[in-house]
Amino acid sequence: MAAPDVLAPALKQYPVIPILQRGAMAASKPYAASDKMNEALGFPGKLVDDWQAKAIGKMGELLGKYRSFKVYLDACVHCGACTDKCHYFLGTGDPKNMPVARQDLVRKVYRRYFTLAGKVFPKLVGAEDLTESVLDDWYKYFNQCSECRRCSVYCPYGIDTAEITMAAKEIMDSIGMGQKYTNEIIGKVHKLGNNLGLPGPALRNTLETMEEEVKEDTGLDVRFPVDEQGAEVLVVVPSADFFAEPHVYSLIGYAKVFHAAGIRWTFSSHASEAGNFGLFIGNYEQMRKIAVRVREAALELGVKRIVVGECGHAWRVAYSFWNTLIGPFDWLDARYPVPQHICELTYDLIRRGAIQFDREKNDHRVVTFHDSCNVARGSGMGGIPGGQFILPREIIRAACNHFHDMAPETIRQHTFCCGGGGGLLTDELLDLRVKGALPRMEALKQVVDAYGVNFMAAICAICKAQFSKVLPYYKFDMEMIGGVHQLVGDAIRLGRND
Amino acid sequence: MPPATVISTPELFDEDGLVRDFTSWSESLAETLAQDAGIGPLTEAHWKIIRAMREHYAKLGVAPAMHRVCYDARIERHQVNELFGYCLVAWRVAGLPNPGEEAKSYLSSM
Repeated sequence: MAAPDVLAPALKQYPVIPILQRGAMAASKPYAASDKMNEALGFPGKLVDDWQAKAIGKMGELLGKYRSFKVYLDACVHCGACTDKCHYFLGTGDPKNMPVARQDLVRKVYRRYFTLAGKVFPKLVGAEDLTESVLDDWYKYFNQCSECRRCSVYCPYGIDTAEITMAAKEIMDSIGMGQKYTNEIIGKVHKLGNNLGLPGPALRNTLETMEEEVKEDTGLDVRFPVDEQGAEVLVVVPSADFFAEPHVYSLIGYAKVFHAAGIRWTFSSHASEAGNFGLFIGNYEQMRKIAVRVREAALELGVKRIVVGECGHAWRVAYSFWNTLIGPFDWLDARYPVPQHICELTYDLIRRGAIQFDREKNDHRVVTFHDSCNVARGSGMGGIPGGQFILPREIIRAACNHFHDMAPETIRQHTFCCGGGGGLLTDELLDLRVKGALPRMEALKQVVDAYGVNFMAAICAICKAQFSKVLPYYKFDMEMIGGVHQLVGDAIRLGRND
Repeated sequence: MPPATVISTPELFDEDGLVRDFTSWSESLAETLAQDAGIGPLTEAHWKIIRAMREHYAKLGVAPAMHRVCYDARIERHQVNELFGYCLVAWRVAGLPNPGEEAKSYLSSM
């Protein structure tokens, strides 16, 4: 448990391409999963004896299964457009964190074993054997990619680096090189229905407190129902919303929206987690198994809508993958988006005049919005182009008087990752996380200085947790980060339907 | 470097430096752990939070949400940060077992 040295780089006025520091992050790697954690997911407990043959075999299997993986490995012309687009490269200066260089750790192995040129004259085409040191680099540097896909936005060929990272992680899991943080959590969600390992009674207990607290605050009986048969809406949220600040304030916000709009809703103790770390490790079967719980819960409770709370990667999984993982959804109400994001639900109610705000209640806040990568680059909202950027901002504007966007090259599809996504939100990687947050911190500093911004809203549990942790390293207050529905909850007009 | 107490009595702690067994904790251990974390000596305000966390854990057997602990014990939530830094430090000093990777990452950031 040796605490890593954590060094925050100085904030600069404008982002500059850092001077290369070869091997700067060569010591950064996550803890390995225990035998038990790996085996619980059906992976080998530890590195298998014939790991090289097995890894190459798995790579072959993935190349056959995912055409995209093969295209991405073949298409790169090393033009360099991606090099300075990665927050981890900008924060660390380690050349292996240039997206192209990180991808090449896999690409050179692919060339060696799967292309004729690489088999015959490897040195000429940059092909290399999968040696122990190459595998070691994989474990280090693919755990320095948050799968945020910012580099892909700038790639003239549209290469999705995240898919290469996911494939590398999938190969490593298949030979017993699992990562502790992600694999322990996936084991928990399979067993108890949420990443926290919170059993049903504890969940109910937590939600009862919320009811008491909101009652004390507002005098109203705003409900936080669990396992309620016949509810119209099943809400799945990141389990952080039950457990941690500032996440709980968004949870209170969701409940107030349902209360004000008079919609019957419920959580499920069987599927009390929106997060799906199967995505992070690139494993479709794990992703499916986690998602299936949501389908089972929705059918069991007889709901007509499934709404996803403020969780970036959960929304990507729901928006882009649920249909093939747990669909078809012909049993849900087709008049609403299937699935529906909580922002879509709230935005729709605002537009119809079904909920109103006392915006001055947020007047102590000058707000900016951090686009979370999986929402920004992996999903949509509201059925309109760019809806995932428009809807959260419109909700903030409806609930707050003071809103300012950060610099255009750092928001919307160009948004910088918080630095903690993709299964890296663990303390042994804190130095990486702090450094990876640099570009976002620089953009934040500009609006803090220019407009006095004191609140950064986000719709992702990982972003919220990551920023609470890293903001103080850059001399910002940890309470500057919060949820969009935290702002909603603080300003929404209640009083009806209680 | 792991804190001094973890080095001198490794059998008490797991790999994350959290007490293995809820019942092996004592008030004097809490004082030592607090000192290691640079927050000792413990005041009555610290003890109020520690007791509330332990009571909660004893009752439910799972990671209590700090929000809930503070609400029940009528402690202002920000006091936990003022007194312990991050919630994970309060967790360690209160001798609660490892809550798992997900909870740990949140406790360490709030």
